[in-house]
Amino acid sequence: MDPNAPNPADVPAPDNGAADSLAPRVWYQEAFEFAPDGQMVTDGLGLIREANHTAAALLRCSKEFLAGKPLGLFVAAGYRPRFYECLSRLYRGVASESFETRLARAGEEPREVVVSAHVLEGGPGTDPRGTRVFRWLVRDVTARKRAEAARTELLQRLVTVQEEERRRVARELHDSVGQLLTALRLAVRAARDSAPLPPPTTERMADIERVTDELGRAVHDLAVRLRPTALDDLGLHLALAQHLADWSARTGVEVDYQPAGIEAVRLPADVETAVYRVVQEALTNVARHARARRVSVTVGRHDDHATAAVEDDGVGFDPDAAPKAGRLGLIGMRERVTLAGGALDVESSPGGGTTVIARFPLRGGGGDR
Amino acid sequence: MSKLRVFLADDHPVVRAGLKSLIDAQPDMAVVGEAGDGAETVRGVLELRPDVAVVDVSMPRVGGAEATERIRRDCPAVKVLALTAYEDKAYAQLLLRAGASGYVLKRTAAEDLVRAVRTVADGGTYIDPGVAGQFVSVLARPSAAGAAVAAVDLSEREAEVLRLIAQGHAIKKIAASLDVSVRTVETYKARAQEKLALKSRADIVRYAIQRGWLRGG
Repeated sequence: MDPNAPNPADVPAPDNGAADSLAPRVWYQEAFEFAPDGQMVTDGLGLIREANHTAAALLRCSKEFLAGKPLGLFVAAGYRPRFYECLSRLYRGVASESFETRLARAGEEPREVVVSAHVLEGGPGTDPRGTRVFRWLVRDVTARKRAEAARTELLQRLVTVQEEERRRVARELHDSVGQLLTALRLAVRAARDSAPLPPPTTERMADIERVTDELGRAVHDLAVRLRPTALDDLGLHLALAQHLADWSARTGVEVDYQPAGIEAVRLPADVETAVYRVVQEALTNVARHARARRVSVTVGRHDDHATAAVEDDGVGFDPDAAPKAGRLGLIGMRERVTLAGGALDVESSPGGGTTVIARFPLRGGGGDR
Repeated sequence: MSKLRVFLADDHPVVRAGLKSLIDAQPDMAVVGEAGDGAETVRGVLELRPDVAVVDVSMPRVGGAEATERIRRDCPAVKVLALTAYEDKAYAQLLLRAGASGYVLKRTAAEDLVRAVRTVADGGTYIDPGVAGQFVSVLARPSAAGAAVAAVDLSEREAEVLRLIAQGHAIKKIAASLDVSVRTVETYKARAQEKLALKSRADIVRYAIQRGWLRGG
């Protein structure tokens, strides 16, 4: 025996339990436990096998309590079908799924979460469900959702306030400025009629009358463009018909207006306003960019939805090309439609014309007013 | 010569004064009474029985349309001439249906009022030229492909796509709900339109109304 060989008792054990490889493992363990998202592992039946600290905290349970429980238990009632559908799809071989749902917590508000699930072990086919392994990542998005809801509410209020302001200013223009112009015009007429005037004066009077007339027209057009009284007094159908007639006369573009189901019955005020503004803006875009000869405007109420489509036969554009914010005003229109609870679609192709379609669900409002 | 007896109703005193001097300046007309709101108007007209009542349609309390109805009901011999700032033809139609014999815009009253008063006093109807010519190109389009409707064979898919388009669905959404590509939907749409000679969405909606595909709201 070699006296210099080390004593076997003094040699450290082989690497798979050595102290210096313990540090990275502890680090990974901690990273798993306190990951920002909840992480859980279940079997193919959805029974929880492992859960990290974040998941337990999210569910307000201890890890011991979670072990062996069905994950579906913690999904809020009403959202369970989607969860079980996901479980089923993972079992049938879909590699991963992602969906939004709500988790229920004892005695507390449910949390809005985004769940991402994937298969860790076992393939589709005959493996019994108990042997499959699925991993679940759960991200708490409650705060984000609340912020989004608050933002939407604020924007809706902004739109409402904006429309009310426009309504007020338009009425002022009619009732105050318009009236004074009428009075002015009548006074000039009275002056003209009161006595025979020398020709130069007559001409000056005619000038004054002309300018006053133009002023009257300008004020009226401004008021209508801001917010037509017909939209409140007479409803969407008649207000639109008037607007389309004016626009057609102004631009020389032929307009084919076909209403369906909105002639006799009013829609909720915010939907009528949104539809009016969408058509107004779509037509502004047509006048600015489309070089169209004909425009078809269809506005209808079908079952529980109101829809509006503005279709032109102009130059069209490529909707996939990066939209320049100011150019077509589509972003503003889309936001407007969304705030009223609707959806906007734009169909277009270069040389193929453009169709703007807005669709709004009706919450059982409207009816005769 | 007996002058035409005119009653003026407008809630803006300066405007009313201007209208009064306009009417009084005519040798064959005289203002016999004035009012600043709808209720006063009805009272004044019933009491004074003018030949023509010029009524501002946007007065407070009882509005112009209601005042017109009441006057026509209680003293039908009085002709009502509606005066308004609203150039929307729909307002004019509303008032004519309420019984007014004419509709004059405030904007052009200085020029047109006298002529309008004479016209309605004679039993005629006066529609302000600024209002009359509207809607010609826009409302009540005769349906184009009416006759051809029954004779054409649309495939089931073509009819389905056409119906969904008439109901206001976007092509992308139709494709998703029928589980086909956008291209496919566009093809069905194009084929159906060609078979039926429908050029625009408006044509499609009219066709759908004729086929009874659209329940009336």
